[in-house]
Amino acid sequence: MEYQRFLTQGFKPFNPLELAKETEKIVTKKGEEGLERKYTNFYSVPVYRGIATGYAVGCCLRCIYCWSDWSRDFPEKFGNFYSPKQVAQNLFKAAEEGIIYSNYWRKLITKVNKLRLSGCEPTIGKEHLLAILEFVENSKYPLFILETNGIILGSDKDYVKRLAEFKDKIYVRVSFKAATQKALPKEPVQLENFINSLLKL
Amino acid sequence: MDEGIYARAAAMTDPRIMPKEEKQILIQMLNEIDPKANYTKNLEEEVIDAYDATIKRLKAFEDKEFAERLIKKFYMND
Ligand code: SF4
Repeated sequence: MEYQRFLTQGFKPFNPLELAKETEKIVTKKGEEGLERKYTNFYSVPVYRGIATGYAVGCCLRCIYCWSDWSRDFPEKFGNFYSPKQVAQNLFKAAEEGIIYSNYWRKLITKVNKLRLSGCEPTIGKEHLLAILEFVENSKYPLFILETNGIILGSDKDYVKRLAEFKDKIYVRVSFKAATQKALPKEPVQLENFINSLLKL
Repeated sequence: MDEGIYARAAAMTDPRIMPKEEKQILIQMLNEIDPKANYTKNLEEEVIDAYDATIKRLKAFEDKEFAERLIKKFYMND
């Protein structure tokens, strides 16, 4: 089966859990220090009043409005592999450094003490994520935010149980993409208007 | 949540892709799962932003030739 990239007209419906497995094969690999996973970057940003962020490669959905970078569609092409320890260290380092890309925000947010994994879908690579949380648990950082589409967690009770071992420090933000089975915009012409309306924002 | 994890829902409710009725269904479902969160008032709503990748993905859905060019671009250096 060909790996699902961005959607095009007439695409074949796919099972997100199957796509999660396919993606996991690409974005994770066994390493000497546990399961490694691909990330494109680590940095601090002003959201949540300052948070160190790891940008995880690869997702199990293909939302047409997705704002994630191209590592969602071409996970084999982007990012580098990091062990759980390296990810934790990079998050701690990003927090220590604070916001470095903007003086404006750096002045407003002088201390960053929250951590998160975001980007595409950070729950891909269960053992990797759980191992990162071990490091976070033993760190001085009080809060770890996991941003997810909820697909993998919703299908794996054991995953949720094991995440709960870190419940004193984690906050899970589930972003729902739909409530019902619905079609994509039907007419290309509607999409054209839609794109134009976006560009006018 | 049953495991005691602090969790909150957000949703892509941009009216350009989610009809009002669907948003209501979603809020109702979320309120049933977690009545205390009161998603009628507190749902964190996402909107579509005009990022470059977003625009290109939308265009690729609309325009097959554009989609093919985009794929080629990513494989040009192979
Ligand atoms: S779940 Fe998020 S990262 Fe994945 S395709 Fe949808 S918007 Fe993009």
